[in-house]
Amino acid sequence: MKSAALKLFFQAERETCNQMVISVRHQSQLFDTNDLNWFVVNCLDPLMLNLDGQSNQTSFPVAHAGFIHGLELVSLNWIKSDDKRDFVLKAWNEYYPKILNIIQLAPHKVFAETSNLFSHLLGFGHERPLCWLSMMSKVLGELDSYELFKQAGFVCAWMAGLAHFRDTALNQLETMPAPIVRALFDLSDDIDLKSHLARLRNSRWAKKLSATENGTPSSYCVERRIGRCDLLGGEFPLPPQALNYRGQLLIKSGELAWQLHADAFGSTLIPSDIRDLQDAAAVVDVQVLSAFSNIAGLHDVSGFSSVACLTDTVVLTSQETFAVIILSTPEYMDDMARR
Amino acid sequence: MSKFNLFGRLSASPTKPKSHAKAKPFDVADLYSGPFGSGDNQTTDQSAGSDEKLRQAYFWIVNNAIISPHYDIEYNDKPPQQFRAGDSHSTLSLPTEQSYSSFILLPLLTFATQSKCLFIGGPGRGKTASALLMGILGGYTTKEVKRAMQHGHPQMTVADLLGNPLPADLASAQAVEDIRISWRKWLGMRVKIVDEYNRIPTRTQSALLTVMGDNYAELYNQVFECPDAAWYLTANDDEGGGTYQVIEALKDRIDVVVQALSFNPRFLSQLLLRVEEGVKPEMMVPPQIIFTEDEISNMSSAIRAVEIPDGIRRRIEFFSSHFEFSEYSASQFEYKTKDTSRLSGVKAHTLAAIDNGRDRLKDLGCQTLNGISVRSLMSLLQFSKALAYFRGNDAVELEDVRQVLPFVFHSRLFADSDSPFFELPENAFYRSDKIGWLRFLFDSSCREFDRLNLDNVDPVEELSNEFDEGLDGLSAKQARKRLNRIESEISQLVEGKKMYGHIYEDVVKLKYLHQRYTNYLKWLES
Repeated sequence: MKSAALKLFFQAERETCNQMVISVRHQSQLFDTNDLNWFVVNCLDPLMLNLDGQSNQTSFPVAHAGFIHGLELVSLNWIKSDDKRDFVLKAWNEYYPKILNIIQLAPHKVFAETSNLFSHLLGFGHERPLCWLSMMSKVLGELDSYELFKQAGFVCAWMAGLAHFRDTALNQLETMPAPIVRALFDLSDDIDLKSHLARLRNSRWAKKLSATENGTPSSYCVERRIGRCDLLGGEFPLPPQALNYRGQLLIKSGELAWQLHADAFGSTLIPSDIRDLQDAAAVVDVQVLSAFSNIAGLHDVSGFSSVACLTDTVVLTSQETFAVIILSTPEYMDDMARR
Repeated sequence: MSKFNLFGRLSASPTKPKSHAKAKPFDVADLYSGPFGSGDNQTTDQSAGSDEKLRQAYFWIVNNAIISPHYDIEYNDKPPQQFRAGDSHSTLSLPTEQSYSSFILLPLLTFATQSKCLFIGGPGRGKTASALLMGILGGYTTKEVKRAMQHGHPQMTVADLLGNPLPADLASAQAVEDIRISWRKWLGMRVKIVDEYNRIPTRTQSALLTVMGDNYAELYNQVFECPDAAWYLTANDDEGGGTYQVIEALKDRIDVVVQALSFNPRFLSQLLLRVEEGVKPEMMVPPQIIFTEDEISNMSSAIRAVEIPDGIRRRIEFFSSHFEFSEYSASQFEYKTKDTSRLSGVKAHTLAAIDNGRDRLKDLGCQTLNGISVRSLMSLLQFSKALAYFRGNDAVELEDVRQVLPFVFHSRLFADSDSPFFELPENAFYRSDKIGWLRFLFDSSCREFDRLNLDNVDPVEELSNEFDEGLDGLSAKQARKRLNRIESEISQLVEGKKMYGHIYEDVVKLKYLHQRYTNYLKWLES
């Protein structure tokens, strides 16, 4: 153990910590003492090194919260799993040391809520937590309050692919300090921030547009395919159908329904209540569907079964695949959306 | 420094997700909530209803406190996988829906409805521990519950149970009313526990009956009004094997009887944990599942508001109509009941010998020695509603009734072990398996109900509904027409046919309707 602060903490609270370990070891069948050792050596100890030389009043609450959180991580089997261990390690070695000022304000809260956030992100793909961490690392030095830390968390969750956070994130961006927003989007000082945010708000595919700068795509572009058959670990029991219900893209499959959120950063399916959609029907107009047959990137699909459109997005489904195909439209294709 | 406490963890809401439940609306706050709590030890969803809190309490008890892996209250939303086991070819089903352990669920429903539950079973099976937990859920400390628990013993006096007169008053009082009583604290509690109630002497049992039945205690002309409470009684033997025979009226006051099943040795590791850790689950009840007085009252009201659809009410009526009828107990129609012969001391088998017309195997009434009491029917309705409420439903389903019924009638509907039904080898185990037998009775009754197509064709129900619309404005002509119809229905039901319990009850109802119309007609014509 390298950290003097942690050593001091264990000396002072040895009895209590031992009791906690014994208690958890018996309460959780998943608990493995080796995992806890790994956590203490590789996660807690490096973090506590940053608090060496500070008073016990400052370091002990962090050590206590960290130790309890370690017990929880081990009990919930997060250390055993390679995927999870990777981002736990990254978080404790690279992320937490940069927000020590926030951790000291509410250590239990920060550890618990960050792990909750990872758990939420994991629900949308194993790569998301690492992606979120790399986004957050751009601004960690700038975060000086717990509120700002949470705001940045929302924005990074959106940028890590959780498209359903789009509106929340855009609202948070309006109130966040400009340097942080610029750092998040890698914007230089000469780019007008307001117009950048306005562009993000106006077009869900704006990230790409800004990359091509003067590029206004002239045709549909296949952005993403999302969803799989439930027999293969996906969501859909039957080939899905897409619809636009009161301005919200929806996907129906059998007796189940989802809200589809998609933009330049990612796409997500959020379960919805099918009973609210009884009066909604998918568009299966053959003429409309055939308009998409010659788009590049869709040659593997010979026919479509439904289509749903927004001003900047088209969603297609086919009987030949369980995946929902998401296209960005050429700008100002309002005509199709109106149909 | 807080101790890490997995015992304090509650099951995540919703504990009973519905197959077509309204999807949880998206909430941005979800990003920071999850399996690690909020970091400030407030993990309950305050907006969750009492039914959710009740389910969380159930799951906390089964997961942490009482080791009861017996899921005997089975629900299925599709045909379950079944296996035939042993020489008896008993069926083992793997339920496809959330199923429950009666030993935990029924005491919890007793708590929610503030009614009375009897635990039976051998020593050391968790009867008292389970009752203790219910006391803690009611907001009392372990010490309070333990101190308030009444332990039945052969020397227990009424004073032990209820309280003592103040000695000073006994010496100086000029009238009985002047004697003040020091009432026992347990009388004022909302969870009352009487351990080994079958060891209490008969006289003290009578005092207990007054408290249980009428909710007050009386000593020296002084009355103590008790609050509504959930009662838990324990007994090692329900068949009179205690020190004293339990008086019949006291038994009838008990709403449900739950059997403590045996310990499964595969769970020895959990016992080991408790020994090694010195863990007492009752000391670790999470505060989030403790109910306030208001919550208990509101929950009782919400349970009463659960609907029982007419179709299910009819099946309960039909079931209970099988058992009271006894054709040779009396000559007058109204007295042809088992109670008539019981009061006169005539043995059941004497009457059975005369009864040679009916199919005694088919007639469900022949399997019992008695009929169903009004109190037990009220308990059945109450517990069916409570189970539906616990499952998050607004209306009772037939399966709720089916699951609750055996526990309600366990000590109230007595099997006639001399009846031909129990002589059949395939039914032999029903002599000892009361729960299975009562469920079989209800299933058989429902099959008969379906066979008679009473869901669709039920003239007595139609006539009854017609009468319920009221007599205001009914002309003499219409009344006569209805009288004729009643007479014709009675004729169709009884003439040239064997009498069965359900026909008997229908005829009594029709006679009642006939009398009401006759009186009305007389009044119109006067």
